[in-house]
This record gives sequence, structure tokens and C-alpha cells, in this order.
Amino acid sequence: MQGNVRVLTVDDHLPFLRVAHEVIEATPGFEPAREVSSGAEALALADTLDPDLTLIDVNMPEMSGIEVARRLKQARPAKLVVLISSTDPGELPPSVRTCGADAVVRKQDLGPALLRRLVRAGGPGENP
Amino acid sequence: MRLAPRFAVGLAAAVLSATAVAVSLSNPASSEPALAAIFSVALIAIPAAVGIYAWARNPEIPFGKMLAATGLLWGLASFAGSGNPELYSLGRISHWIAEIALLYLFLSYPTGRLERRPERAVFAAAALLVAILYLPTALVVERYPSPIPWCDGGCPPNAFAVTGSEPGLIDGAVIPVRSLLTTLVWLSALGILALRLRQATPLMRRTLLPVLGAAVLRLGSITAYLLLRDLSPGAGSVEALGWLAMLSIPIMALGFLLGLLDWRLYEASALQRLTVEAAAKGEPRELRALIAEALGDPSLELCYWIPGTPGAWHDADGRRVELPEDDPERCVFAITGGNGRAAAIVHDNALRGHDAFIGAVGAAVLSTLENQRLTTALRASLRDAEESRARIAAAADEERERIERDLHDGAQQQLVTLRINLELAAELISENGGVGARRLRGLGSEVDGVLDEIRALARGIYPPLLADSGLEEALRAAALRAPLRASVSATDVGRYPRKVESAIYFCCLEALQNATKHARARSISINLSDVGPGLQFEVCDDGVGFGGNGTPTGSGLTHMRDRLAAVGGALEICSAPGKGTAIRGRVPVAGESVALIQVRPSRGEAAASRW
Repeated sequence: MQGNVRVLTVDDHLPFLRVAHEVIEATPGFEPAREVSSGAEALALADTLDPDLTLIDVNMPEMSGIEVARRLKQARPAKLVVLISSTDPGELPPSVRTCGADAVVRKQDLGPALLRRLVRAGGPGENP
Repeated sequence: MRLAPRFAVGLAAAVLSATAVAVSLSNPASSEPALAAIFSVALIAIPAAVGIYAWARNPEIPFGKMLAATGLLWGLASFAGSGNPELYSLGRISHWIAEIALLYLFLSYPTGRLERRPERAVFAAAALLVAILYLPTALVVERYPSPIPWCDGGCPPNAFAVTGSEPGLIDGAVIPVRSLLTTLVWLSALGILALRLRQATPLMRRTLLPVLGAAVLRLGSITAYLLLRDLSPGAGSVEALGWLAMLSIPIMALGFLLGLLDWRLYEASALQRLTVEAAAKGEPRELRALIAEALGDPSLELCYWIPGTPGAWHDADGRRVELPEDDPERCVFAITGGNGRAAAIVHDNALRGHDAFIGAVGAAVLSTLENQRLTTALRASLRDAEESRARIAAAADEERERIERDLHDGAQQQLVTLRINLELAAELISENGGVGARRLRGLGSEVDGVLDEIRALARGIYPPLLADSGLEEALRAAALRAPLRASVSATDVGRYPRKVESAIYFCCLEALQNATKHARARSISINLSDVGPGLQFEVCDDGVGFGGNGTPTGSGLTHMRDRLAAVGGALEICSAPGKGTAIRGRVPVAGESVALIQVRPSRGEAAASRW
């Protein structure tokens, strides 16, 4: 692919956004495009920012991450949308699988290796 | 002592009756002297007799006395049957005064007092009428209006006339006007009684109805008599109407008597019924219904006095109630038993003044009431216990949710971040050892942070120090952590069951937090002692205090009470504005009886029990 993979991270916990930024920056071939703390912001920025990969927290107060994922995928089906969850993926609602997201991963597994895996086959990992 | 006044009045009535008979029989101007004599006696004796009876029955109200006095007044009025001008004139004037007295009796029945404004207004109007349009004419008329039943032939002239001739104004204007006004006054009085009847309880209606009937008769006859006499004095029916008007007075007195007797009958049957049926009413609600029916007051409330509880009055279901004070529509009657105040009957205004009757009702049902007080007390305490349990359960749920949130938001998030950082560090080490090592060391302090967080959480659930070393040590540690000067002292304090130590520890903690947050205190002292009875704690601060009326509520204080109640203890709060706060609690420990750790009532409760 040409250039770095630009990543948008969406999560209401600021400490996680900070560490995600560090991880993405430290991973060669990836660059952090933006970190936002609400789904509304993410949807607003999607067109102007045009991220190649969007990481979205499932549990967010105002708009559910699942809903955000669904809309992003509808608007731009070619870009990767990955849901991240702090609970066990086995305990997530079934809509997680049907919303169109490319993958569902655990928050704590975020790292350079995971990022590479996500991009390589367009979303292996805990594939729904 | 009490016999003498009534006896004197009776004697006076008898004397006046005899005089009236003598006067009537010796009057040359009367066409029916015997009839006049009989009517005179009726006019004096019947009201006097009924008045004396009412006076004897209900000495605390003035109605009886006034009725008897009116009877004596009619004794004076009967001098109108005399041929002597002075006595005759006196008699005629007394008629007018007696008329006002009759109106007063009518308006003030059955208490003898004018309670409301409409009645007072009508009476004032009547008094004014007599003062302006009747009494002054005694100084100017040659002859009083005739014929009257006593002297239908030739009546003697007015002995009190000071002017030589009678102004034509009197006959032309004053007399017709005052006759009209008299009719209006009686009509208004009738209207007032009709209104009272409509608003009265069924019980009151029975006593008012005979009086109303007699009043209608009086109004009708006096109106017709005055009208006819003014328009065509020579007509034969004037005489008959005059007799009827006069007869209506003893009939009114009998109407009063009927009302009083009916009331007595009613009281007797109500009391009989209550005495028989009250014992069978096990349920407070049933007893209330029985008394309400007996007194004819469906809005009646029965309240039980349960000492030692805040706001000691309760209703039949054990709920706290407030007694109405200074409410014009409701009256409160306290029932006192052998052990002091037992209950109170809150009843409608209509029964005001019948204290003797309500007192008898109270006495009749006293033993049933005493039994039911126990039931009510039990219900009240069960209710309190239920509510306390519900609050404790809700508080426990809230606590669990808080812990879950704290864990999720705090420790869990930190561990997630930590995990990610570890992965990052591992990558970095494989590329660049130095940077990776630095990163790892940084992560070490992040782990410390998480450990602190979890430790604080655990302390919030059950402090390890409390579990290991007991109340004194745990509270000392809490005092050290407090942002203000806090000291801890303990006397004979050892180890106690977990739930007791937990309850006292968290109560002291809550008190400490309150003092820090709300009281603006500078120093706090926590004192524990097991000198007995029970394990006692006290948290005193020198802050702003709270106070005013009664025990303060606030969810924190309620929580403390519930916590202590759950282990059989009780809470006491002493605070005054500007004088700081002392929160004390006591919990029974093994070997002591669990029941009834008493709490001294606060200032507010003492004020409420003043009557």
C-alpha cells in the first residue's frame, strides 16, 4: 500500500487514547491520524480525515460503538473498521457480528503485532 | 352550693307565676282573665323549667341559665296584664327586651354562645333595632300598640311618656318600619338556622329540627299578628293571632327541651352501644369506624400515643400522624388512661363543646384502646424495620454498583493500558534494548499505581487493618488519613463480631466525612468505650453544628441509623448551631439483651409533647 496506514481511534477513555497513539506511532507503516472520544466526532471527521483503519470502543456513553461502526462501514465500505472491547468478546451482544465491522478485538491485545495482522488480510483476528 | 342558684331561680319563677296569675285575674280590661292567667304561667314556668333542666344537665354551657333568665323576664312582661299604668308600661317594655333574649337563645342554641359572625350580626341588628326604634318610643307614645292578648279591651296609658303629645311620625312611620324590620330579623335568624341544618352532621340535625319547627311557628304568628294589628286593629282575628304568637314562646321552649332530650337519648344509646361493642373490635380500624358511627362523624380520626418514638402519634396502621393544632375545623380530644396519655380523638367542629360526651366515649373504649395501642406500636415498629431493611438492601446494591464502577473505570482500565505498554516495551527491547529497559521501569511505577487503587478499593469494602487489628487501630489509621486534626481514644475496647466492628467503623467514618465536608470543623475526636451497656462510640467535632427543630435527616445519617439498627444498636445526635456536633451510637455485645436500647429524645421531640 502507498504511504502509512492512517488510523483513527475512538474511545471515551483518555488514557487509552494516549497509549493507542503511542502504539500506532511506534509501529512502522502506521501513523495516528486522530484520537477522538465520541462516536459523533468520529462520524463528523470520517470524510475529511479519510482514515484507512478506525478503531472503535464498543462501550461508549452517547452513541454505541456498534452503531458508529455500522455507519462508517456503510459510508465507506472499503476502509477497515475494527471494534475494540474491554469486556470479554464472548459477552458482547450479537449485533457486534452483524453490524459490518471487520473484526472485534480485546483492548488489551492492542500492539504492533495486532495492527499488522489486522491490515494484512483485511481483518483476521477474532473474526466475527 | 350548686343547688342553691337553681333553686333560687325556680323559686323566683314560681313567685312570678303566682304574681302573674293574680295580675291577670284582677285585670278589669281583659275579656278572658282565666285564659290570660294560664298563658302567663306557661310563658314563665315552661321556659324557666326547661332552662333549669338544661342548666343542671350541662352546667358548663350558658344556654340553660339564659333560658331560665328569659323565663323570669317573661314574668316581668306579664305585668302587661295589669290595670296599673306603671306596671303595665313596665310590662310592655319588658316584652321588647324579652324578644331580644328569645332571639339570642334561638341563635345560640345549643351552647348558649354566639359562635359565628352571621349569628352575631343578626343579634346585633336586633339589639340595635330595639335600642333605636322601640325603647325611645316608650318616652313619647301615649298608648302602646294594641290590642294585645292581655288587654284587648282598654289598655292603660303609657306611664313613662315625657312629652305631652305623641308625634304623628310614630304611628305613621316608626311603628310600621319597626314591625317590618322585626320580621326581617326573625327571617334572617331562620335562614341561619336552615343553613346550619344543611351543614350539620346527621346527629346535629336531630337536635336542631324541633327548634326550627318552633321558630317557623313563631315567625309566622308574630308576622301575621304585627301585620294585621298595624293594618286593621279592629279585626277579630288579631286577638287570636296575638294568643298564638304568645303561645309560640312556650312552644319554642318545649322545642329546646325536645332537642336536649333527644340529644341525651342519643348519648345514652351511643354509649351503651360503644360499651357493648368496643370490646369485640380487635382491629383499630374497626374501633375507629365504631366510634365515628357512634358520634355521627364520618371524618373522625383515632390516633394512638406510642411513647419513645419520634413524633409519637400514630394512626391505626402504625404510620406517624400529626395532630392538627389551631385548626378551626377540627377539634382534638385527648383520652387519658391509667398510664397517662393513651389516644386522641380528632373530630369535627360540630361536636365542639360536648366534651363530657366525648370523654365518656373515651372512657367506654379505654381498655380496648390500650390493647390496640400495643398492636399499633408493634405495627409501627414492624413498619420501621421493613423500611430500614429496604434501605439497607438498596444501599448494599448501590455499594456493589459503585465497586463495579470503580473497578471498571479505575483498576481495570489501568491494567489494560499497562498490558498494552508491556507489549510495546517488548517490541522496543527487541529493536533497541536501552529504550525498552527504560520503558519497563516506567511501567513498574504504573503497576504501583494500580496496586494503590486496588488497595483503596479493598479498604472501602472491608479494611484489612480492621480485620487484623480491630476498631481502635483501624480508626487511628482513618484519623491519620483525614485532612483535619483527628484523635482516637479507646477504653476497654477489644475484638467483636465482624458485623459489629464493620457497622461501628463505617459509622465513625461517615461521621468523620460529614464533619470534614459539611461542618467546617477544625478538630475531631473519636472515642470508643466498652464500659457498658453495649459498645459505645462517639464522634465529636467543633464545627458549625446543625440544629433548630427536631432530629436532622439526611441520607448519610439515615444510613448510619440503619447500619446500627441492623446489629441491634441505636444512634443519637446532639448538635446545636455554633456548638459543634456529637454523634453517639451504642451496640449491644454478646451477653447483653438485644432489646430496646433506648435513645434519649432530642429537644425537638420534647417540644412536640407539650399537651
